[in-house]
Amino acid sequence: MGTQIAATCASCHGEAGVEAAIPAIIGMGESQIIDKMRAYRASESPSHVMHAIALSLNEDELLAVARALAVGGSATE
Amino acid sequence: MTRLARRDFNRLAAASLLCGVGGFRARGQARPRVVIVGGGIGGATIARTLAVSGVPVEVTVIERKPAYVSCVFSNHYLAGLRSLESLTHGFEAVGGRPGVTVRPGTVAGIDPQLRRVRLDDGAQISYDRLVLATGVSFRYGGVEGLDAGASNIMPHAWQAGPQSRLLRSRLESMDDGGVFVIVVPPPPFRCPPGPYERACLVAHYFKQAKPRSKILILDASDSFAYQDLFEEGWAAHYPGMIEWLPAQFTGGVSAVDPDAGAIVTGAGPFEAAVANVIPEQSAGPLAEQAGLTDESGWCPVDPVTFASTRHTGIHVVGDATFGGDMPKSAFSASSQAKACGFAIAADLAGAEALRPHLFNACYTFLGPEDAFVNAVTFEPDVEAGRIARVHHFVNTVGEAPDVRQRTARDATSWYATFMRDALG
Repeated sequence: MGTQIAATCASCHGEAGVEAAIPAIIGMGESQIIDKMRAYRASESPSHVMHAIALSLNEDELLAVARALAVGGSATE
Repeated sequence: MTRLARRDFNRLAAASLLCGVGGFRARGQARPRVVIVGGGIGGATIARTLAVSGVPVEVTVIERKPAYVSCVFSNHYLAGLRSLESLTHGFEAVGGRPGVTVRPGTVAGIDPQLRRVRLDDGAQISYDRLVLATGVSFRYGGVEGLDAGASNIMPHAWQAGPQSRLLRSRLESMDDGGVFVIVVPPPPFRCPPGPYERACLVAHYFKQAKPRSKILILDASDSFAYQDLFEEGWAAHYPGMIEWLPAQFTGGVSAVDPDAGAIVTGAGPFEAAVANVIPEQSAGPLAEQAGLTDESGWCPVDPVTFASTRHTGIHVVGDATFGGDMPKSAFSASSQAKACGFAIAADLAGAEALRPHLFNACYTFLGPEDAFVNAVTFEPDVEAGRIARVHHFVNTVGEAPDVRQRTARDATSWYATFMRDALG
């Protein structure tokens, strides 16, 4: 489930280390992603795009995508 | 950490489908073949999704063009703000993915019973699953005098490429003081905010190069997407330059005379120095002939798997679908293609498709430094068999310029990443 949701992230979030207005998320830790997503869910500011995404995920899905992203990120180090 | 790349999103995908799914390929059968018609955002994204799914599959993408030119940001090209080359993406990376072949050619027909497609060079290709990702076609006939030949004089530039070059050269050679007329077709059409963004960016060009020129929008509708944001932007950036005439004022466009530069409405003719006539759209003859469309002219699909409701073994994604509440946009096509790719992989592996999260975000420019973005989530309404909108957020009127500048920068960042995700 997490991996399928994470595929959506790749539409906007690019490679780590590449200068871009939309930051990379590959490489973030699991708890950092969870905290950010909960903050996005609570408020339309600073990003209504992420607010919409965060609202569309239930708690299980949020945890699953955070785990998938964190695992995918650390595994290639 | 610096070399963590898009590969990692791919590796993620590989993990999920195979766990819990035993037995596929255990008997050593030939790998199932998925044929994708169209290598644009939808088709290329399905190819990527299947290539990294971990499910053994042979993917053939049939593509008639030598390269993909994105409609996204093509209004920037018309305004002289971007080159067409910067919007052109080859298919090399798609063909380089494991198990994926790009086959240049044009599909002439589909046989859903025998599960094979016929190319116009006579070749026949069999499939286990077919995906149609062919975008929009133009449906001529509703406006007298408007046909493919007329579109060479009054370009639509609604498929990026030669048509974009044609319209740009018309705009460049137009005398200062001319009227540029944009004709907006009845919905649904690709990129609902596109005609109005085009007015903005061409007005920006006129402001620099031909300041006495005007833009007239002749609309088949009486309202349009994000009208409040556009009208605020028109007044702020291009006062007196853009006039929008809804159908209730003109009775709609009934005929065009390309040689005279005339556009005829119920309220009389309008003369255009340059005309941009966007025709009505549909899924097109290939889908129609295969029996994949309904009376709307678009392809009805299952909202979870994007399987055609008309023929088994065939899926449709992107602009060619009847997308329910989802607009015809590059982002929608990508989101649908990911859902469809995962569903096909699950099906081939003998697993159940997950209910997808569907999403659309479109960046729209009111000026080079003034952009807004919508963010819309969707979910399948399985009972009704359609895609339903859930959450919708968008910038608001009266925002500070720095918010819009930041959105414009996000848009540029998004474009590069989004194109790499599909075609890079």
